[in-house]
Amino acid sequence: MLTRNHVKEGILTTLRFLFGAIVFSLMYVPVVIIIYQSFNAGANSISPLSWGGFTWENYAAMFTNRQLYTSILDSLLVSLWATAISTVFGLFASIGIHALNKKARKAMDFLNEIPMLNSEIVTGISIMLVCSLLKPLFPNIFGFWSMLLAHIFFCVPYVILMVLPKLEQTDESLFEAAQDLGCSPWKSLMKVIIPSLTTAILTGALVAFTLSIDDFVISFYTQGNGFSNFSNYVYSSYTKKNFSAGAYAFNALLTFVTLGLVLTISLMSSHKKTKKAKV
Amino acid sequence: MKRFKGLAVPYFVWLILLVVVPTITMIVLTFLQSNGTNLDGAYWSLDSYRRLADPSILKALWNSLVIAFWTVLFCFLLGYPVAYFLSFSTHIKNKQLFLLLLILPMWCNSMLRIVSWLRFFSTDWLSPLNLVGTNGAVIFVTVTTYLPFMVFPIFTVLEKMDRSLIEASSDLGVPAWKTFLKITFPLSLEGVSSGVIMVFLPAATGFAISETIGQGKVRLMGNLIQAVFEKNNYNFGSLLSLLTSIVILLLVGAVAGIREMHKRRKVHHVNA
Repeated sequence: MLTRNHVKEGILTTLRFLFGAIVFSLMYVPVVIIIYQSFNAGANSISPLSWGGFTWENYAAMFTNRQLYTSILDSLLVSLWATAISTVFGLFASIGIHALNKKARKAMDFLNEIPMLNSEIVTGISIMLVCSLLKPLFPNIFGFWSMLLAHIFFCVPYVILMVLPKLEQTDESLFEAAQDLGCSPWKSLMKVIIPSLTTAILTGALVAFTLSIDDFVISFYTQGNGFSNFSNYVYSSYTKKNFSAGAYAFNALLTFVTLGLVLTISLMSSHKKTKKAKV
Repeated sequence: MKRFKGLAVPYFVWLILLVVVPTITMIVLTFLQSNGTNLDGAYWSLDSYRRLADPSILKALWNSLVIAFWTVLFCFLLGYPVAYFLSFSTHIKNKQLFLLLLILPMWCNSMLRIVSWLRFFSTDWLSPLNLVGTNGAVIFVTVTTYLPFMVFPIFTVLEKMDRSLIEASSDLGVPAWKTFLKITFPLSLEGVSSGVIMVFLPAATGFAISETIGQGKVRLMGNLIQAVFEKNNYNFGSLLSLLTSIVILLLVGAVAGIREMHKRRKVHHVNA
């Protein structure tokens, strides 16, 4: 009886792992293709995915293909600014929302969900319309500024989503203690409350950057005056058939860098935890 | 920390400006015939509303809902077991690592992932299947793109679940499948509904996947809106955008409403 159960359990476990492996591989097919293509000398050939030998040339194309190079720079420029601004904006907005009374809080929570629940295409068109209205005042708004505005708009709610729950868990007495010890309210906020939120803030920034660098639809509607981003480069160059394999190289590189960054952060935080545990 | 209430004000103003102003602009535009947002020579007209009668619009709306429905269903069928095995497995020591593995593909550019699938479907051994340009291929690529959005909320809810309930049920001799149906699954519905919303939204309104994988043969709401704006027809485009938002908000509201009702019934149950 026991052995039969063991066998059954063993088969079930194998099936579970098999199922998981299939699902994971479904998601990894494009990742593998991107990395494979980034080293493939035949990445641009007409017969898809045929191996033309190993090369570093695609990585060089990142810098030599002007269109690709500009779109990478534009992407990084918008995403880094959008991440920085929306993290700070989202942090202070969270502190403000946390202080609201119940009724105002509910209204704010609802408003904050709109950018997340609205479809990307409508968000993109909305920001484009706002920028069109502002165009008489700021003739050069389309391009960097419109895209930055749009990216901040959709990133802030996610920063709040990460920071607000942590803020709710912080001990209010810490804040009061700092004031009893002679800190001004602002100083206690800056020196006590905000440092206690570091992990949540970093997570929020990472989510904002991930969303921003990957965005296609919203940037599609807010690009202009020769300013575009990487996703839109891929889309338009692929439809115009002048796609450079350097795009694979850039993306593979970005994935490796992000992975390294996340591993460092998680290692650092677990190191901190063990250090704390020792104390 | 009540004194920092004022910090919510800039964000409130920001949201009003970037949500309310464009919505009003769109509503006004639907009643006009104009050249983009340029009002020189614009006149009041109900032409946009008349164009709604065009059957291709209803068809695109229906197509979007059908494609999103299948995407959500497949994401659920693939994502729920993965979240469940990951959460309940006694073999996996490092769950964080598996979560990381699940997010990793999302750091690859989504547009480039779509292009990669397109190349993959066009290889010598897959091209005889003629996948490119079919609804099935569009659904398949959409599922692989948004699957993590289904797995994460379900996993989070399962992790928070009180395991003693399940132990109690098995101690009372209830078979495992019945425990799952009566306890685990109902308690995880909150995560499922979040996942459903998070997958449904981009699946129903996107246009990148249907444009590239569908090769123009799969026309969804997003493709229609994009085509109309490309022709600089902001009037009809605004109307279609508002229509999409209304349909989406109604559906999301329905899911949220069901969830709320479910929650209330649960509370009632406990009180009784």
